[in-house]
Amino acid sequence: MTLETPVATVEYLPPPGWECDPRPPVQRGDGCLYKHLLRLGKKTVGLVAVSTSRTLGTALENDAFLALVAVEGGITGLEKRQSAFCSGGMDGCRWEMDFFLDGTPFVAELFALRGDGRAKGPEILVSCWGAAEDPRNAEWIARSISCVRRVNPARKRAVALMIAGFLAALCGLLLTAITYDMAASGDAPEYVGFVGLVVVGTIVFLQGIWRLLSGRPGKSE
Amino acid sequence: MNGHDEKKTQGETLTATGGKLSLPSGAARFGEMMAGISPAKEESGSVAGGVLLCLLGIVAYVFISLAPLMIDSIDSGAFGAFMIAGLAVLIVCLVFGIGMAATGSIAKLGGPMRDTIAEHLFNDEKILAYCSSKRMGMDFWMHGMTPAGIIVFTNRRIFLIVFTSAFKSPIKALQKREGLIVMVCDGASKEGAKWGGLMMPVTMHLFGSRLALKPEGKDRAVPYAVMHLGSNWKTIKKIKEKMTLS
Repeated sequence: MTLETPVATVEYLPPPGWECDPRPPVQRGDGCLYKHLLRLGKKTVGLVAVSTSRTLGTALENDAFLALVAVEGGITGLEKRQSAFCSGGMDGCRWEMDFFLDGTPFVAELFALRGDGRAKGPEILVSCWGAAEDPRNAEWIARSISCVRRVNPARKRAVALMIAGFLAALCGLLLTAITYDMAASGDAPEYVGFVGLVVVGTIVFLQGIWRLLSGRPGKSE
Repeated sequence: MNGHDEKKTQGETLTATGGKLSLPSGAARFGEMMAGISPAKEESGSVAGGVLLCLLGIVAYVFISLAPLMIDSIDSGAFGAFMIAGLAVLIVCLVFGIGMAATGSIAKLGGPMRDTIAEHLFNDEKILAYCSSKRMGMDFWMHGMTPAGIIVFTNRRIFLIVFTSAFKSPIKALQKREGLIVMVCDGASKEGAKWGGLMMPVTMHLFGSRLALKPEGKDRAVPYAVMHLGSNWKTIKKIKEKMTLS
């Protein structure tokens, strides 16, 4: 299965019989969460997600737990055990959780991974849950993950702006030079200065530089 | 390499919501404000019908304006009067045609929008109204007729579905669940959702209202033009009154 996001492409292998259900991305904190729910029949039993911001890091807050372990009901006696995890170029944290969901014993496992030991960049999240006697599959999925990082879309857009601005300014200068040459050789009565094109091109180019340096996401995000 | 640096916590009690987007802090107050407002009726416009009406208006304008030249029995001195009559027909057709097409486009978004939002709605939460929103400022001109987002009013909060591209079909984006982000705004706080303010061009105020939304997690509000169209606008107008009065 492939989870395509603007920041990374994540490939993973769900356990046999499990199906993935892509969900709409949601705003979470100052970033965005792209996720596939994993279903076994009609039951939701896990998820694979990519977060553009630091969702977990090294601590599992309760709101992150509730967002990533998509069970419904009253949770009591929640116990979390955290340990380090490393597999095939991905490293991060692993949480094992025991709790009672409306009185029924449940277990959940959650992995927060980053590629190449990077502290920044997208975080890949894998979680699975089920009754205490159900097989635990989160580690199997986590070990199957491969991630290809993409260029930050904000930076991509910034480079596009810089190129567009540069081309517009260059076009303005070239047209001015052509008309100047024509005027000098007597083919035209006077030259035309394409000041607007040069000024707008320069402004657009500077906007691109500003966005590139600040890494600011576009307004449409 | 598993198992080292192990930390442990225990005995916590929580209420799990199935991964739903959590309610903003003002959800209860917003719920009180929205009490008595019933959900809007389904929109009934048609994009094809609206476009056809606009085209008919253009054809009618040409024929009516040129009628004195084409029909001998009409006095050619009445050319000006016919041209004004043709222009009036064109304006009426354009107004009704654009309205019909716009409500049709809102109607088409309804189903996919409900599918997208459904998983985040709590048991007592219901959709009151929605609109296809246009970003104000420079973005408005950049996005043109393509919706830059859908604003969904529920009785607990305001959802904002933002499309990441102006050049892809929003209906396809909703169906494929790609190229969009679902956000939540606190309708009870002026910081989260604020009606009013200047729109450019100023004539936009005849057709829309300005609503600045700051989704949870974002650091600044983005203004949208909510167009005065269809039965959803009637409900949104009531919501606006309640929000501005509080």
